[in-house]
Amino acid sequence: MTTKVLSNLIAARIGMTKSQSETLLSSAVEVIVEALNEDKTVVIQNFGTLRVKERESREVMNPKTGEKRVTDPKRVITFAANQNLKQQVR
Amino acid sequence: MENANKLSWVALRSAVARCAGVNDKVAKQFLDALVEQLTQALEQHESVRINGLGTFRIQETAARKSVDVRTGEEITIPPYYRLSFVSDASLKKGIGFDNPTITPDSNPMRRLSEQADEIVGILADMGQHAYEPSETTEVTETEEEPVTEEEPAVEEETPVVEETPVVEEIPAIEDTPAVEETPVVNNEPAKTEKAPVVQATASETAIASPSSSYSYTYIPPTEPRTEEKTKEKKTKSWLVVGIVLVVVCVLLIAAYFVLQYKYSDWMNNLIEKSEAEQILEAEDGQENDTTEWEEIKLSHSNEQEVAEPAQDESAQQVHVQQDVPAQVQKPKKESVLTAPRSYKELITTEQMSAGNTLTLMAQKYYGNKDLWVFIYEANLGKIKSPTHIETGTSIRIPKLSEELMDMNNPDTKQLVRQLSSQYVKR
Repeated sequence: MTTKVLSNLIAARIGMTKSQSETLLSSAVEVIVEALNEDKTVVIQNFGTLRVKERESREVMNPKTGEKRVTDPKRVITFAANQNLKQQVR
Repeated sequence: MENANKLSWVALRSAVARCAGVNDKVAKQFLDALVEQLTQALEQHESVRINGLGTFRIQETAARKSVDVRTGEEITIPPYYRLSFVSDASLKKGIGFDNPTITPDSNPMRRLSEQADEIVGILADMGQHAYEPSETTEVTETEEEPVTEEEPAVEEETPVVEETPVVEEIPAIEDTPAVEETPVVNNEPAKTEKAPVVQATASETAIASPSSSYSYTYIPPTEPRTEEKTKEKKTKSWLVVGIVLVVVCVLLIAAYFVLQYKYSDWMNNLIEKSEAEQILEAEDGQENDTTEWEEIKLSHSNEQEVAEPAQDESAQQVHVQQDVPAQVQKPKKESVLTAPRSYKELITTEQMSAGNTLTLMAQKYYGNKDLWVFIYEANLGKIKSPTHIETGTSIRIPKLSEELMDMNNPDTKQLVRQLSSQYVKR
């Protein structure tokens, strides 16, 4: 399911216009990303939590060349599903 | 205030509402629906990709063997599905999640000095274009303003109003990416207030302007987002214009048809009136002793032909104990259609039952559903609307002359149609 389909479905579900739900969806994404960018945890009720985690640098080896190097530390977005959602999906 | 490191559901809702320019209630409704929709899709193991955020996908975890820690027994963990999330590639690269050096908590001074270098470079480029150095500088500055103005804007409306026209003209001349930013400036005039200040400094000393811009060029990563927004706005405005045009066209066409319809209606009325007048005139002309019904009949010119059967028929009808006018109307082949009908002779009366209609009755007794109009006429006193008849009403089914039932006769057909449209309108 793509963003467009999703926004259309939501529009149909609550009876708003497609464009309105598209703007709302994009602004929701915008707000979430902005918060994540500020290292905030984003709680989505009845769904789950998005949070930024730091990945430490580690030593990796290129399996082809056998070359070893150390990765840069990075920050990744992780999602933890709500318990209910986990059960529903399972 | 809440935990600084957490964006709660309520805060998210109000932030979305502010961002999309709707009220909290709508945002709440939307977000609830979003969660419901996502849950529903994921329950059906459908992956959901949200642009700019990432993909939610259900992944199957196969059954595997394990050992019960307490007993040392071998057990099989059954397969199950779990929800996985992969963030969008744009988040990994564009916003610098993979690059700790660009994180907001890294040294801001370092980033500012980088920006200063950049701006100095831009200014140097602009030095080659002799004309309009100040305006272009302003454009580069305004780019960053939507981001910087997080707090409510200070009230300095007048300089803004003066400056904005200048900003508006720039897109036509300049081809820099900054061009797309200017509509944003126009849409949020309160935010441009600092632009004039920068413009002044920039025009005076080219190198001084970058330093003056430090204070409000803090987090640049949001630039592409605002650009997209303005593009969307542009296309939207075109869409709106198009839609308005189409609507106007449709309205015009509708008005045309309505007018035409009304006009033809009016014309019909006129024709009917003039016909009626002609009949009246004809009546005046022939001052006979005949009844009203015969007069009308005579006006239709076939005096001899119709008069004779009229007498014959009336003689027959006397046996049936009828009013004279009612009898007279039957024999007249043409006037039966124009004369008012009186329904004295009944086939039967029927109780109105649920689900029954006049048309069904007409079909039953006359073999033609269009003839319901005569049943309606015979019951005018009892029923108000031909379509809404109370159950239990006794409906009189009149006996109709053959002329009235002869739907092959175009005159009858026309009469029935006219009557039905007349009654349906009521």
